[in-house]
Amino acid sequence: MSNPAQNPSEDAQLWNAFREGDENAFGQIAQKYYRSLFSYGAKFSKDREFIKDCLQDLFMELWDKRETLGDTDFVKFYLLKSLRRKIHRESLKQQWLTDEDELDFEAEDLGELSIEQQIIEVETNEALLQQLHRHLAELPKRQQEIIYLKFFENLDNESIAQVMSISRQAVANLLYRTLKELKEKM
Amino acid sequence: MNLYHDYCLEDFVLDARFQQWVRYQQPVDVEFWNNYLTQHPHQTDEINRAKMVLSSVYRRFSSPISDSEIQLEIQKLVDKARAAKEHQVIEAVEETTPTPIFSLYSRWIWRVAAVVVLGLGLHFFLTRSPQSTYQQLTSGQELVEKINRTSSPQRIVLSDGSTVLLEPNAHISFPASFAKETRKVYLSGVAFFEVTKDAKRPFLVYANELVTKVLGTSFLVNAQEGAPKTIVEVREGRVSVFKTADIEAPQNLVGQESKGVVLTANQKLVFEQETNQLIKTLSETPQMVVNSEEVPNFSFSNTPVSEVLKTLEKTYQVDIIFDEELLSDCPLTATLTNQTLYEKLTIICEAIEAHYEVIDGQIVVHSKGCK
Repeated sequence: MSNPAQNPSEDAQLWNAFREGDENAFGQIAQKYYRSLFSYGAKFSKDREFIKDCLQDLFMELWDKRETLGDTDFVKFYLLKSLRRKIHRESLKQQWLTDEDELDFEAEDLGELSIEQQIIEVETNEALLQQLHRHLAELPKRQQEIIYLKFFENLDNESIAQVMSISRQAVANLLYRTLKELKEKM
Repeated sequence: MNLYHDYCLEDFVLDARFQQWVRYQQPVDVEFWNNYLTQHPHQTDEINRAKMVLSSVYRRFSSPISDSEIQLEIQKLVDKARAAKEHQVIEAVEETTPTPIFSLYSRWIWRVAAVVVLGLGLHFFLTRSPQSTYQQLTSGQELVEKINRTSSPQRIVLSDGSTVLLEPNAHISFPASFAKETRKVYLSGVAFFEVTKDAKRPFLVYANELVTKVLGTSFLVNAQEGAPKTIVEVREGRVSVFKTADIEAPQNLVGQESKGVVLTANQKLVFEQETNQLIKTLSETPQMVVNSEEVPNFSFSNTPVSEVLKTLEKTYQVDIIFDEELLSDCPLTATLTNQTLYEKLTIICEAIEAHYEVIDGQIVVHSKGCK
């Protein structure tokens, strides 16, 4: 897992190089967001290759649009939102979903723990963690997605609202309710 | 001033610094929060519970994908971006066709961006044969031939689903349906291939006196028209290249593997018509072949040159041959972040009065040591 601490001026330089058509800068930007986007995409489909294809398309669209893009601030938000839309559209096309269906946000069953998680394991109370984990799984899909976007992607409420196409107030309420529920379960 | 003194669980879990600590366990954050806990023991409970909530979130929602898997995807993107840049003309034409370039069909298609320019090397043409290589190769076979006589690229779909964008004046010949064992196409001119993956049937591009066979990932074939050299260059992954004469020998393809040259990252193969030789060398601008987070900072302080060279070897995935014992006595202090591989090597060699050369796709460093 990469260190999230980034130097803003390096970021801006990279972004400018990308906009000027430097494919290596493009690669570095894709690298920076890939894991996070894959992780988000994987909540809507269990087909890893499908998610990877969606991401290839998404990034190539970004490349094609490079000259008309704005500053780097909203990239992550833009990519998350576009990915969600793309998966929805492709799912309709493949007839996995009908028009009325919402995308289902669903975490996959856990296989082996990553090193990152193992570090956490050592330091926390396993039983309580398991318990919390079950409670999270029982939360409504929407609440899970908000928690995910908040804690995994570090989006603010406004961005979450836009990605999920719901109101900012709904995000705030649901987030508050979810935290309260989790706290009570402890 | 203590920002966190009245924080409760909800505040902690929403705090960026707190999240970063729980998620990444970076030493600087670990230190900060451990100190904080020592100084503010009354918040221990809130902090531990907040940590637990976040841990369970991170655990539930992580989707494992390996670094190498990501790297492969990124490489595909960079190759596509590069191909798009280098072939803007072709892309412009593609955009006008009804099929979207990056449709989801790409899941079944193994994109191989290759431009093959078949130059009729004048020397070869005059001294060896009254016919072009292309004519020789295709004559007497039952092949479909397409010739682009228009002024814009034409898209051709092969029986296996692979597509070829044929540039003006280019010729391509291929069987109406491919054989069981191989997929051969013959080309004269410039073409852009998108090859459908089929591990059991290698895809072979006959161009000039070379045959390029796809083994691994993407590659570029470039033979300048009329030039005495044909070049195959690999950015990442592997391809194998054969002389047409070898691959067409009586033995079957499988038995001929040994006569081919396998190219890996940053290597290129030059075929010289005059000498009829295949020369394996390194790309003129070798690229780093590691994740961006794994790129070393190349800042050395009294580091043995043997260590420095090992770092380069690893980062560029090229072989560097040197006397380890001798060079471990040569200390180097330098920052080599922004130079190309060759510039880095030149600086290192100047510092220790050594020199290097590229032989057979490897770098050999000659030194008398520093004692």
